[in-house]
Amino acid sequence: MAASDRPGGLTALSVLNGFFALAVGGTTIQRFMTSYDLMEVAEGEVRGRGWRRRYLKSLLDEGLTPMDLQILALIGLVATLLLLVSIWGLLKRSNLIGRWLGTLGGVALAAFYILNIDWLPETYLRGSGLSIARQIFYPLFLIFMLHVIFRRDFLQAQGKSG
Amino acid sequence: MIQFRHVLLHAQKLIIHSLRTGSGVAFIFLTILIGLSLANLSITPVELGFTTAEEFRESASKAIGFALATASLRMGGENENGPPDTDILSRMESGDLIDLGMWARYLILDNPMLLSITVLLLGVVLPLILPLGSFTAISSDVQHRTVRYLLPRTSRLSLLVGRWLGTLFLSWVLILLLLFSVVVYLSIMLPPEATESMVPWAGRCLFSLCCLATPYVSLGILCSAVFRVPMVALLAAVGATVGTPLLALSLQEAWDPLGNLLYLLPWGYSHELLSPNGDKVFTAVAYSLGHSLLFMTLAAWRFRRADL
Amino acid sequence: MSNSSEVTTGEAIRISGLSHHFGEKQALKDIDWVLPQKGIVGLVGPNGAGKTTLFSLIAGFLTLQKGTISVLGESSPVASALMGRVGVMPQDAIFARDISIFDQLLFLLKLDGYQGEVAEQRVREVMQRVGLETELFRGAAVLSHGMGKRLGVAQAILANPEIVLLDEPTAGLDPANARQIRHLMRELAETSLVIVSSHNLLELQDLIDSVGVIVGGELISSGTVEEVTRRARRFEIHLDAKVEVELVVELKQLSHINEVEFSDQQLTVSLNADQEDGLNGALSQLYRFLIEKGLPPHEVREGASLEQAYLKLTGEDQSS
Repeated sequence: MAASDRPGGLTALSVLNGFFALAVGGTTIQRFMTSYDLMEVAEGEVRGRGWRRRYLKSLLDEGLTPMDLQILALIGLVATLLLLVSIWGLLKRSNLIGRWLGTLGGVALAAFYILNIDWLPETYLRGSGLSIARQIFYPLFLIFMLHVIFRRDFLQAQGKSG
Repeated sequence: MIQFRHVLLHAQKLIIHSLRTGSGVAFIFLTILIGLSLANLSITPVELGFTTAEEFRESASKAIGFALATASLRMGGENENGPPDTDILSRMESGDLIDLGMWARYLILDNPMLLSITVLLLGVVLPLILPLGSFTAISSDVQHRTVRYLLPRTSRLSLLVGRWLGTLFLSWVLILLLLFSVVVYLSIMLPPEATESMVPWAGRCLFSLCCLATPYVSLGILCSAVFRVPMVALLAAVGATVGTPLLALSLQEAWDPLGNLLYLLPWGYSHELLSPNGDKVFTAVAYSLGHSLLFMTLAAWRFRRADL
Repeated sequence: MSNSSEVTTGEAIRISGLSHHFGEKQALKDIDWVLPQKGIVGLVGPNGAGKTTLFSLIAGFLTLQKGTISVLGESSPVASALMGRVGVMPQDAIFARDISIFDQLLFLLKLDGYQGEVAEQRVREVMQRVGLETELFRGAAVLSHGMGKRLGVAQAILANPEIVLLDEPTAGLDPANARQIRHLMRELAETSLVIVSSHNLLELQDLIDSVGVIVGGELISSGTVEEVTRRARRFEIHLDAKVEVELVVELKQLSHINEVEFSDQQLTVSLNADQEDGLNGALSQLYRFLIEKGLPPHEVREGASLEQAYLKLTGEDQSS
């Protein structure tokens, strides 16, 4: 017998989940670090280079708070973890871990980028707008694939294991 | 003998199959990824403030004029003295290339510049991506002999046309998604009055890209029908798409008329799909359809005679 | 759905002057063959004899080079009127790996004209008939060789075709599954023509109504099993006493005896049933001789006559 009858599309999705988990994970770390830098600047501590301090000060002036960044980072962390866990679920065609955690991961990923656009000031986002559009496309694509194209694969696999 | 019901069934199956296979998902994702990256490339310099909109417009206008002169095989002109770049620019201002200068201004000044640049870049890159969506359409089934389950039930022509239609539809949907994302983003970024003029121009761009996609999808299907091994079909389609302009432009150096080899594929006229001249647009659309028909006729001729 | 246009000629397939070559190699030479509307027809021949080529031409996989094949009254095997009326199980085709078996069969059945619930029900029914109902929603990639064969048969009979072409349908199957497929073929043969190619001649002998033997691209013999094997009916006779050489020498001189092999208490006799009194005359002569010699047969059973005929026809018989 062949090893698996998993459709190639599911394997591709699991690879893409890994790719986006790394991407959002990196951004999450960046958000955490920036939030601590912002806190230091807000508390008047003088650290780092001048241009960096001025940049952080301008973010504060535009209304960005360290809390905003920490909430975004938290959502990013959740998205990263969900996407990473769902890789295993997609490969195993687990309805709960693959389909539903993948869906939640997609929602968290979309929420992360939408809130980024909504909360972060223009100076922070400048130049990365279309890459964010690209990042928003993926969760929508993922949810469509999990609930329309591969829905029956997950349900059948669940039926067999159940 | 085409059975229309079968054509629709084959098209539907191809779309579903494309979404379920690794290569299909890769095609969809790569098209969107590369498309948005190209859009990013054209928007970022202005967005990041590396250049002002005016400076960008001016340099874009020159670059587009230069590209149009290359695509329409008019680089070598009446005035052959002096440095080529300045020569081209002066010819675009007041010489024999004045129509190209006006054309570039039409794209840059009369219509939303960033969208025009994005679509022009897509026009160059999409022909290279589209074979990814069509190279397995026929060849994969022939290689694995899966086609033998279909042949007693459907005509070869219905199968071929159905697969073509499915691939074309999928490509059009991807182009639509891509342009939609760019337009939505530009609408957010630009002032509201700019958005109004963008929608009709976006419609025109969508039409142009869909027309452009049709012959390239047909070429992909032709290669898929001719070659039994999918990777060979992919290499043939991409090789022909890349090789034709390289060959034409280098042979043109030796003898001008050889540049017309560019017309073997839509490279020779695809830019005219965005021309300000309605007649030229009509001709380009007719050429696109003609090329598609030619490729599909060749594919049908080959596929109907093939031992499967 | 299978379209039952009238075939008044009483024949399902008529092959005339069919030749085919692959490059320099002549695969089929001037084949003429008429096949009936019902029953099971066996197609036998050594490897590379041209069986699969003939199959592929009838199924429309290969384009005709010389000669004609008329199928169900249509002048070409790829006529649109034949779509869905001919079911084919090719030997080496594989199902797509990314789509479930159910969806693939459903798609094939939709091409045959079925729709909706009826189509879904039909897929379940056929999968049950081949014993694969539990694999419906799996991918074809996980099926074993035998299951793959059964799936191939299932897709061939999906739409109740009038002609079913099966290329080695029981090769690699365990005895129970092979029996199930043979049973299925017999059922199909009540209403359709089933053409089956196989190397298992013992299996074919009990199964088929007529046979065609292809050697070197030529149809060297065709007709009912009775007709093809008539010249070489083979019987195994067990005696109560040891067989002596003198007995064999005398036996060989009888008019209805073609060949005799012997070992210990067993005689294997090829009878010539082609004379006026046929097989009965040949058997009477044999029995009379043995009884006269005081050696009444303890057990008589017909041997692998199709195999014997095949070996003779193909020139592979080393016994004589």
